[in-house]
Amino acid sequence: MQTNFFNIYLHYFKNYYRSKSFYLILIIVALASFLMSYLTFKYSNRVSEMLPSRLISLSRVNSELLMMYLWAYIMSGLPVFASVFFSSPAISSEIEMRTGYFIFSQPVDRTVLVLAKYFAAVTVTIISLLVYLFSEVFSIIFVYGFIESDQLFWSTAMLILFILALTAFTFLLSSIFNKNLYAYITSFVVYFVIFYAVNLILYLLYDYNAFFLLNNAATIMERVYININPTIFTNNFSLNPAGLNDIVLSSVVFIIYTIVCLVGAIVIVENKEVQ
Amino acid sequence: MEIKFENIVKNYGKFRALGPLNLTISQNGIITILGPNGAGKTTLLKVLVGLAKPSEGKIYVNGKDFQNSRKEILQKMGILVEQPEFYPYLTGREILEFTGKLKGLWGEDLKKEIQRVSEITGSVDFLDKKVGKYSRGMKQRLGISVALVNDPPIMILDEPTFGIDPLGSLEIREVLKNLNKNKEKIILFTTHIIEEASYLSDRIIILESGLIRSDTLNDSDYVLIKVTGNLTNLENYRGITFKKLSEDQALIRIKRNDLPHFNREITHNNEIMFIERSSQVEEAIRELSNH
Repeated sequence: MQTNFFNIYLHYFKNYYRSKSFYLILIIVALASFLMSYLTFKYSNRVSEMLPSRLISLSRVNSELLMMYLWAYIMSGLPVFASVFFSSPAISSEIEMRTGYFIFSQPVDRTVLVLAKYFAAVTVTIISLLVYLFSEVFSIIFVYGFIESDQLFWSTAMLILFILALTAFTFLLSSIFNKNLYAYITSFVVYFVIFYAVNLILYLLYDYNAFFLLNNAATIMERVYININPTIFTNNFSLNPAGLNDIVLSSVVFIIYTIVCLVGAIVIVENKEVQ
Repeated sequence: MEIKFENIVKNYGKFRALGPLNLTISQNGIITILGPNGAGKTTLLKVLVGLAKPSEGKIYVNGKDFQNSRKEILQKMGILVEQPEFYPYLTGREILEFTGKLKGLWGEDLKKEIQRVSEITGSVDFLDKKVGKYSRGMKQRLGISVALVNDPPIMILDEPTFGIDPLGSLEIREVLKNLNKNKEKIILFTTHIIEEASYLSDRIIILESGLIRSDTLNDSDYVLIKVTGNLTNLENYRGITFKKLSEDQALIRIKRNDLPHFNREITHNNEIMFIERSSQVEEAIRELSNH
């Protein structure tokens, strides 16, 4: 099984990294990296002055931490695009592009197929985001002379968990559809409209922070620098980094999404017919 | 090897695409599923290789239930279903390496096997190109190569000459003929070309509306021809069976050796044509085959 898994993983990994989608994502990530590097180099000392008045207390935070918060804030959006590009068509394309006739008639369990493709998609997503991470580390060290390595470690660890969860989530949506376009649109709409709307409604009507939503949990990547959740409107925030409890809570949300969505995708694919 | 379909039914919603169907294939050779579009040929193969699940019934291969031994059974099969598509950013060689590894071939053995199958199908020249740049015919040849990897005892081929130019089709037919030379495999293939079925098959199963209409051994001593013209003397000619398709057309099953004589005696001023595919012709073949 291990040999088959690795064989299939490599097969999909090669097809991913040679695809146009991979280079498109690399360009998007490189562009984001360039813009953030520009901000860091040009405005490193004035970043807190540019904040709106309601966030003026942030000026008390050292500008390096604030800059890393901003880097992480932008970073939390990038995996969404990368995952959607790589994973939304993961299963649906096997039907739409008719490769399912080939792959699903191979002497291998479909569970192994799904898991191997899943990890291939996770790998290319992480690789594409490395450009951003390296740019961040280089810019911060170059400008400030040092980096908050503990916070960077937690932020990166949360990024990886977020990619695992998001990829599993998009795999689940992809397994439902037989057309790539439906899978793409549904992934974006669910993440950027449904999740945000539910978050907003629950907060405004019930003053409830919907920690279980993927977009909300993803804020942990920037909250490990300064504990401000950009998805909810509140004046109650902490200038300290998010505590271990917050990290554990977000990690649990990511892990639950990963397991539930992967199991769901596997069950659907096991019963999927190639038409 | 033995393949057994037991009361197989396949429904898509309220539409019954296949069955109820009982069929046993226990002798090696080329077994052709012949039928018009929508007859259920591809559905039958899809059910056999697990791409579709039967609504009712079971499939056994060598006595093993397909549902319970799917992986083990697929190891013994070489499969080409529908017009094959492969991952566009991989080369043909990488696709064959992938398939070979899943079938337990590695290293030098794998290289030799890739060379062997690509020589058989004439795909050596384009094996290192990315599949995204392949023509329909090249993909078809690669698909047949994939099915041939590791020399499986059962081959499932769905319209293998589809999309290939006429010369290429003849080559593929010869490939199949050669594979069947020693009768060491079950080669189950579908076609809608009667001529192809007549030429290649040891056994022809005619499928229509999801049901088996005819299941006969293909006696190569006989040929099927369509005659157009004056058919008045046809009833009196001995040694043939025929079915009138219209006032001036008939489908005739005749001994191959009798054909020249038949041509002189009966079809003077008539036109003999190779048979073409049509539901009317297939109906006639069914009747003639039962004689």
